[in-house]
Formats: sequence, structure tokens, C-alpha cells
Amino acid sequence: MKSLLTQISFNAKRIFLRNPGYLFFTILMPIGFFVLFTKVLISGTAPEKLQFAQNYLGSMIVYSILINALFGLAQIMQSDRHQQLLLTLSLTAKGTKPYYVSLAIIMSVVNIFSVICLELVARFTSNVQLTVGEATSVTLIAVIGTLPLMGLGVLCSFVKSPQSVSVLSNLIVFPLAVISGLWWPLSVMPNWAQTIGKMTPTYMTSQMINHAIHQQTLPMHDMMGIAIWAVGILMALVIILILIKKGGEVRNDHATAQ
Amino acid sequence: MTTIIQLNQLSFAYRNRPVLSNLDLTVQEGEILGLVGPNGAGKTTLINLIQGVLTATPGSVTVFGGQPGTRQAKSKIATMFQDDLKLDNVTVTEFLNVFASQADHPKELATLVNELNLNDIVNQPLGKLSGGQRRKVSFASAVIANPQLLFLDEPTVRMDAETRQAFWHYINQLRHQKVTVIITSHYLEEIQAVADRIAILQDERFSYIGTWQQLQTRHTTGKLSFTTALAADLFTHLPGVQTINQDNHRLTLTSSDTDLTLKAIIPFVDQIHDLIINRESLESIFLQMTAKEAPKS
Repeated sequence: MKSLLTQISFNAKRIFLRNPGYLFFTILMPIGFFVLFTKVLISGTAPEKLQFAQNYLGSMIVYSILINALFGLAQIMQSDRHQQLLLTLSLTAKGTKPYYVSLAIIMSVVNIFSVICLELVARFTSNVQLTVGEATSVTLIAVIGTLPLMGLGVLCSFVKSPQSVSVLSNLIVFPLAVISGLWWPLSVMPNWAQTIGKMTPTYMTSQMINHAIHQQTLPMHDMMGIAIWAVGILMALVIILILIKKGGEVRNDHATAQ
Repeated sequence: MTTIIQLNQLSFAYRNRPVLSNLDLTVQEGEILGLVGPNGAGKTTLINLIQGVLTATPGSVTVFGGQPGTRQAKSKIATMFQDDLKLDNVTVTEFLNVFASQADHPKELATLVNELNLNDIVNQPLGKLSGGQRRKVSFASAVIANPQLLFLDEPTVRMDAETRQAFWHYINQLRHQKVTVIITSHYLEEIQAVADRIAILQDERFSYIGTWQQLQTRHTTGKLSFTTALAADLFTHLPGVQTINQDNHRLTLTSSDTDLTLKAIIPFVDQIHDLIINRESLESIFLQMTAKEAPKS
């Protein structure tokens, strides 16, 4: 337990609390987008604006999680693996479990913090009123919707160089944000793009959040979709870990015998 | 004596390319072993096998009487890698606390900071330390686990002379505490000075395992230098003498067997002064040994 608490403190400081860039991209940028699109670049009647702000809140919550997973988690883990922090920890008595658990806790806390910030901004700038129950539901859905995206972040962290992981993250985040309707409504896109967009975990999560905001029953097919994505990415991770374990000796030996 | 590491016919291959073949080695408690070999000889591979990062096939490795890589073994082993961790946004104290929390029986941080003279940098950000300071912190992150077996990979690289001296002093203290230390380094004069035994790894095998003194007796070549008013010709045919250089009254004899040549110059001892005997260093012996093998590859 002491090891876990020490690592939570250690990782929280280096990843989040003392890292203004991380804070900007995961929390301030989605807030900035929300304010920009709901207060500046918007027209229509007051009810239409409120309706848009409610929907856009869900989109920006998912966008924040997506950024956290792919620009945050993926790059941190890649850097730690590249620097041999993970190897060094794996050789200690308590191994890497405290590291992974601490990262999962920190990422969840950052996501929850980001969701609460967006909910508060939506309340005070666009009058999106959520009861405590609704806000809690939205936060919980966001945490559940995090799972496949965090898994995607972990998958990206296996890329060899920091430059490659940065390129890969960009190649995933922005197309995924566009095609799943996080930036613009999916309805303005061609049918084929809508079909693809509706299959993405980001769309499914934002749909579930929107249903929660509008006090509607959560769509079962989106819940199933999130579960399928989570299981699929988990399986991909297991396969990659098995391949790494098999190939690890090869790479390790190759590297050390130079 | 307690056996800490036991290698029995240990082999390891990268795909079909053998890296280590049939290695046998026993390392005892409190021993300092210098593991040397040319680049690519497989030193780090061997350490990875002992730590359980890699699995040997065929052959076996026993560490503390059991399998390598188990929690029990890991709790007694620490490693200082060649590359230092360069983590941003954390202080030295925070960094060391993580490694203390990962150990079963860690040293007190304050004690270690005093022992390793880290007081000046303990509150500094890890990312802003100099190369030598970072090396010290890497060493501290290994020994804070209070290990019984310590692996040091190029430990003194980037350290200044004063820090090196303090470092080796600390290693000697660990020796007295019965800590077993395996060192790989390209600074062979340091290995020569500190190691109880030296293992030279080349061409998949140990070409030598033993003390520095035993190795030196196999390589008797050296130089005897002295001042004398006697003619250089008197020394030309002495046993072992290969060449003679003369600089005013100082003669330098290169000998294939310095002990033999020394005995032969005893009759002249009243007429020679400022005698200096230079035996071969580990580095020159190592270079000779590895150079002999070079044409094969």
C-alpha cells in the first residue's frame, strides 16, 4: 500500500500537477472549445443554443478523455518504457503493479476532474443545469467510456520512439474526434462517414452521456458497443504482451549484445 | 561461505546465434566480481539471465539458492543501469522514495543521503542534474533497496575523479557488509583495483576467471627502468630482455618476464638507482587477449 501511495504521489506530480502542458491539453483546451462553440461561434434561439450546449458538453467530455488517453497516457507510458523505468521497477521486489495501478487511478482522477470542470463551465457559461444525480451519471459514464480509450492509449504506448507515438496519437485523435461527431454534429457528414462514426467508442460514449444529460434511458446498443470495444482492445493488449514476452528476449539480447 | 550465484553450463542464443555457451561460475557472498569483455560479448545478457529478465536454455542459473526472477530473489537484488533515468518534474528525494517504497527492507533515505553525500542535490529536480550527479542518484536508487547482490553497469562513467574515489570507497564498505557486487566497466584500472576476481567474457565463453594477481602471473611482460652509469650492452643478454631504450643515464628494459630479469640485475644493484618496475595493466592484458581472438571473427 505504501508503494502504491508513493507512486500515486510521484506520478501525479510529474505527470499532472507540475506539468502545465498536460493540464492545458486535457482540461483547458476542451473547456476552450466548449466556450468557443457555445458562446462565440453559435447562432439560433435560446432553446436551440441550450440544446446544442447540452450535446456539445458530452462531446467535449469525450474529447477530453480521448486527449488524456492518447496524448497523456500513451506518451507517458512510452517514455517510461523507453527510459527503462518499467524495466527498473520490474526488477524490484514489488514489481510494476504499483506503477500501473497508480497510473489507472491518476488517469481516472484526471478524467473525473475534467468532467466536473466541463460540467461547471457548462453550467455557468451556457446554463446547462444538471442535477447532482445527472452530473454523477455523466461522470460515471465518462469513466466507463474511458476504458476502451485508455486501452487504446496503452496500445499506442508500445510504439518504439516518442516521435512515432506522437504521430500515431495525432493520427488517431483528430480523425476519431471528427468522424465520431465530437467537433461537428455527425448529421452534417455523409452517410458513409456517419456509419463509421456510429461504430466508434467515442461516439457511443458521447451518446450515452447525452442520454444521461437529457434524462433518457441509456441506449443498450451503445453500452454493448463500449463493452465490445473494451474487450477487443483488452484482447489486442494481451496478444501484444504475449508477442512482446516471446520476442522480448530477442530484442533485449539484440540490444544488449551490441 | 555462502554461494550467491551459481551458473551451470549456462547457454543463451539469440535466435540461432549463440551469445553465451556453457558458462560455469560461482560467486560467493561478499565477493566483488569484475565482469569484463569486448562490446557485444554478452555481459548484459548474462546479467539479464541472472536477474531472470531472460531465460537460459540450456543450462541453469541459481541465485540465492533459487530461481532467478522470483520475488524472493528480486527483494535481495538491485541494479544500477548504464543509462540514467531522466524523469522531469520530480526531485531527487521523490525519485529515491519511489525506489525505497519498492523494496522490502529499504535503507533510511536520510542515512543514505549522508552516506553518499547527496545533501546538496536532494531537493533538486532530477532533470536538472549534471551527468555525474545523475549517476550518483542512480547508484542511490539501487542501494536504497539494501540489496545483498548489486549489479553495477558502467557505474563511474560521467563521474568526476573525486566522486569516483568516494564511490569506490562506498563499494568497499559494502564489501565489508557482505554485499556481493558484480561490476561491468570499461575503466579496467578500476576493476583491477577493486575486484576480488575478474571474469573475462569473450567469444561466448569465459576466457579467464580468477584473481588479478593470478592473471598477472600469466602475463609477465613488463618494463624495468633505472638510472646507471653502466653500459647498456651489459643488460642486452639478460634473461627475458627484449629491447633496451637509453635516455641519457636512464635505461628502460622491456622484458618478457620481469621477475626473471629482476633477478638477473641483482649483481648490478649497487650501481643502479631509481628502479621502477611496470608490470602490465589489466587493460593491456585485456587488449592482448581480445586482440588474439580478433582474427577469428
